[in-house]
Amino acid sequence: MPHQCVKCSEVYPDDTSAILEGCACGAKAFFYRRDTILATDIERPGSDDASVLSSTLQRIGDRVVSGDMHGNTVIIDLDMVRSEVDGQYDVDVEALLHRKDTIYTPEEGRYAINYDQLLRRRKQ
Amino acid sequence: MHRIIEFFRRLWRKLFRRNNLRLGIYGPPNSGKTTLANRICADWLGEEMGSTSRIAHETREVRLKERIIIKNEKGQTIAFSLADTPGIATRIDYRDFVKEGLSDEEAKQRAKEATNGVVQSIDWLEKMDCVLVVLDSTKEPYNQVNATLLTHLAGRKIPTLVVANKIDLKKSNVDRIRAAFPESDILGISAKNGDNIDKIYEGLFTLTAKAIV
Repeated sequence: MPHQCVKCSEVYPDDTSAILEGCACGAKAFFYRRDTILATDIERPGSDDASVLSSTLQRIGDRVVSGDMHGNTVIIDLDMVRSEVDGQYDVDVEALLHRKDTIYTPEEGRYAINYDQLLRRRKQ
Repeated sequence: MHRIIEFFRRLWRKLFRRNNLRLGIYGPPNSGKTTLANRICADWLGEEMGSTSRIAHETREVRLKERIIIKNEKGQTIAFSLADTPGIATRIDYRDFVKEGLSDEEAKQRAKEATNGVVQSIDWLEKMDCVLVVLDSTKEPYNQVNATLLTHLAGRKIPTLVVANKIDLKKSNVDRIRAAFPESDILGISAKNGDNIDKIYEGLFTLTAKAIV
């Protein structure tokens, strides 16, 4: 069963020496990671307002910690590319650059986000 | 773990990609990325990469040319794949294309494709071993896109050369780019006329060497 660092959320396979020597971040505590989740979850914040997004990320993080996730990916349905008028687009380049874990589908305006990285960011 | 991944990444490059690195040409729209890509491809492959236009966002999909081999005066060679990417912008408005003579429908379609192109460019950044950031030296360089892109590349330690293009134009001001990004290596060129293009090729040797260290 994979191990996950409690400090930085790095995941190690169960046969790695890092479990004995400690994580690269310096932490020596790990918890077992349940690896049985397969399907995909979808979260719809309903708004890209910072407070709404923050609470959505908090909720997803809590679900990951509690093991209450049905997939290894959670899709957050929001617009990093906004279009209020047909043919006019605002692109949040900074957000796109920093979310290397996102997959964009223009027709649906959806992004798939790897929750391991999401959780890592939340802990940071 | 990150150190281990980085170690294997470098090892992989040294063993298998040393002679086929991926070089990305990035930058804002209409800075001359495709003109530069065409120049490089014409010089070393004898064919062009793609079409250019005075209307922004002419390149709306990443275009790739495999295995370009360049040679320097010492007889050394490097091989790389060249990716010409769509211009990165924070706002794309179809009305800008209408002003250039496109119909509303064409302009809206172009805006949509250009927006997808921005996202595709950023997605491809993950795959690049080194990057040329092409800026228009006649324009104010310090803006959100350029600053964000260069900061991101530096943060990810992707070897980068900033190309200050269009030095053949009167309004060109390479020093303004140097002042805006003092940490970056900057080279003034004219991709259109070929001015300083030899220095680009020298720069590519340095850039690719950094990518496989």
